[in-house]
This record gives sequence, C-alpha cells and structure tokens, in this order.
Amino acid sequence: MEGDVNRMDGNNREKLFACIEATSFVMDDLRLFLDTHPMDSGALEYWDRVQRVRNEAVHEYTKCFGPIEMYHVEVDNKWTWVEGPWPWEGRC
Amino acid sequence: MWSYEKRLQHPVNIKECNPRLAQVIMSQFGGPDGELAASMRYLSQRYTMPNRKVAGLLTDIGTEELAHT
Repeated sequence: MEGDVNRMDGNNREKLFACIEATSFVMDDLRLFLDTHPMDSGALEYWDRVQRVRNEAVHEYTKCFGPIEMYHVEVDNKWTWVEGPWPWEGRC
Repeated sequence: MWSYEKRLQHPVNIKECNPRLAQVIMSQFGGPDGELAASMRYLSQRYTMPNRKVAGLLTDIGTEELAHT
C-alpha cells in the first residue's frame, strides 16, 4: 500500500516538475520576444496562459515536495534549503 | 536556474558626482577581483565540493555575489 502511494507521489512529482520545466522554458523565451514586441497580442495571450499553468504547478510542487526557490522556504524548526539533491546532480 | 528581481539588495542613494570613486566601484564590480568574478568562482567551485551542504552554500554565496550587481 505504502509503495503504491510512494509510486503515485513519485509519478506526480515528476509530472509536476516536468510541467514547471516546460512552462518556465516557454516563459524564458517569451520574455525575450516580448522585451522587443511588447504589444504582440498572440505572445501576450501565450504568456498569460502559460503563466497560469506554471503558477499552479509551482504552488502544488512547493506544497507537496518543498520549494524550488529560496523565498518560498517554510521553516518548521529546521532549515531544509541546502538539503540536496542539486539540479546539477540530475534531479532537483 | 536564476531569475532576476527588479530591485537592489540594498537601496543606493548617490549624493554627489564622483567619477574617481565611480571608477573604483566599477572595478569592484566587474574588475579582476570584483563581484562578478567572485560569483562565477563560487558557482563553478561548488561542482567539486565534496560536502553537499557546502555545495549548497556555495550556490547561495555565488547568488549573493550576483545580487550585489
């Protein structure tokens, strides 16, 4: 039973993380385009749509698996920010 | 992944025009022993740091140095 839950958690974690990676990638590039095309309605709509998805994914991931950014760290009698693994080790 | 916040780490209030001081500050920023060089050094040293917590610390110090820009 517990194994099932862990597997489900692991699946969900990977899906959420992949979603954050994909939406962030889109927004990183959209940012560059929008910097020089600030009125492009297609790009603006795209930004809005992807931003919603990313916000939700980050919120859910942070709640379930811990923060990916320092300002979201919640302390509960222990500082957890420097607990690995690190992104350059293959997984966050 | 880094992201930029549109703010300074510490507010700056320049009261007088001082080109000589500005030159020193620019060197402290981008010069051979400046903030930018320090940040890149910390951020590449972390990859060979055997202590994983200190690897995390180096990430945060490198980030901090970048935050001085």
